[in-house]
Amino acid sequence: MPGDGNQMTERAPEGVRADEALLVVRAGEGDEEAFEALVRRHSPAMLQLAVRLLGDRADAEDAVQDAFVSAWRKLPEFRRDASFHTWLYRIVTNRCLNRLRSRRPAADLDSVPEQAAPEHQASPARAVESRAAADALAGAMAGLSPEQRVCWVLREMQGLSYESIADTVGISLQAVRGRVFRARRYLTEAMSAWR
Amino acid sequence: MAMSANPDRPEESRYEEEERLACGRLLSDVWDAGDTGRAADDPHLSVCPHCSAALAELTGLGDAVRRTCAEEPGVPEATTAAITARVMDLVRLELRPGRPLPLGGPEEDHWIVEAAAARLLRAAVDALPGVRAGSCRIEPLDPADPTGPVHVRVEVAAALDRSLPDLADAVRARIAEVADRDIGIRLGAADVLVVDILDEDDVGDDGGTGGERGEGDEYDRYGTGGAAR
Amino acid sequence: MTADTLRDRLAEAAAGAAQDVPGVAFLRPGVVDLLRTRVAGRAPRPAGGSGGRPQGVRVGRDEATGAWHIDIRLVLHRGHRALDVTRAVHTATLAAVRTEPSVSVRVTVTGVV
Repeated sequence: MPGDGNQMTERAPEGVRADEALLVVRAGEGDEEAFEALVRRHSPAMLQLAVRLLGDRADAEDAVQDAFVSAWRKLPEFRRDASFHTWLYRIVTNRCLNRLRSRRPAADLDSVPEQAAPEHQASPARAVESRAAADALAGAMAGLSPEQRVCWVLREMQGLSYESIADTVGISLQAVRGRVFRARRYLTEAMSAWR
Repeated sequence: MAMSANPDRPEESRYEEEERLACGRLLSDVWDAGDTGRAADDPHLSVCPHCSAALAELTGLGDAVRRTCAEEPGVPEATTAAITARVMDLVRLELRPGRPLPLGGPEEDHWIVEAAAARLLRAAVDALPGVRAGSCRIEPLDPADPTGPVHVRVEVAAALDRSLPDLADAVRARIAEVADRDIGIRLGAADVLVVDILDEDDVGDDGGTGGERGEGDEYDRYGTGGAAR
Repeated sequence: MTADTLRDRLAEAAAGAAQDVPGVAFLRPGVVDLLRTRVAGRAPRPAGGSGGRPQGVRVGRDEATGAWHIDIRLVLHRGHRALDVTRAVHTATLAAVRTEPSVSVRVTVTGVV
């Protein structure tokens, strides 16, 4: 399901879930082929999530790969009545959050928004503008704290509810609202400088 | 940049107080209204220059997000295949300790780990029309005799085109046949549990489509199906 | 010949014999050798693979009796009866180490491909 942007939710379509239950049980009992089918099925959505969270394709591929291997190890303890997609989503998100935290010192907070908002890019042609808006947003997003970035991406790009974000990241609803709000405030400021 | 992402600020602090617009409204309330489509319900929001400017900022950010998502390249099939291959290489390196089950007679020192035997039994059950195997556990019938006959407990999802006893008998017969002919384990008992129902779309579809992607394809043929509860 | 080089020679002979049996996909954890190159670099190598000793084969000796014990772990090719394959591996292994008077062999199927 690549490319459905904001329509993405943390839930798999209903039809996939019943069939998936068999695969998940099999994989949990050590059936590698069943797990391979799950990996193939879920990797596009997980990769899209990781790219948005990390802003870097190669990094995202590594994070997704690590997350799947971790999922294989934890599968024997997976509760049957839970959603595999949601469970995996949580593992990928937390892997990405840890990666963002570990790369943190390398990012220079003050310089990033300036890079993202070059003054000389005034009134570009429309097609170029779209590309430039994406670049400016990507640059501005680099200035968010890892926690803000994760909550904001899950909310605005993945379309998750505040409740689902709280559940996925393992923090309170209040903390999610605070992070999303601060991320929005920061990003609108950075983007208005660009405009 | 006047505003910073300040990661050190406690998340628990009341963000509502952080920014109040010149008209007295909280920025967070105004944005919440915009977020949930309630902005039109409050005349103030469209009249007030501060509130409408704040809403416009949020809309502008939303537009940039939509453009960014639209600009994203999809995930190519080759990337999915490469990630899957790399994950499976690592997964196959993981040596999961598994219960060994005796192959052949008690005097023979031949064994098969439970996961491997379970895979063979599941594949055999899957080959029956209208049946798919889920959990398959195999253990010594008598825990005190690890070289004795085994006890199989298999869960299946099945179509309801025959009675459950008939279905269970067919699955048991299949397991007994494969345990001896294809594996070489001595079957002491087999329990069959029907845990889910396959609807008609899943049945008779065993000829399958798309066998081009290599190993694991046997699962893909019902990837778009869906069993009723 | 020292005990260790004899041990290595027996392991080598057993692995060679087992690998040639129809229905044996590979000895485990010899799967490392089959890895796609990119992962092989970062994957941890399983223990017991030092000194070029074949993977998936362990050779032990009862110091009191001098009897050898060979433990073989293999992954089975689908379509072959597991017990027939382990019996053939057992026979082939004993034949390969027949210079030794007392050898017992344990064969375990650890996977199916």
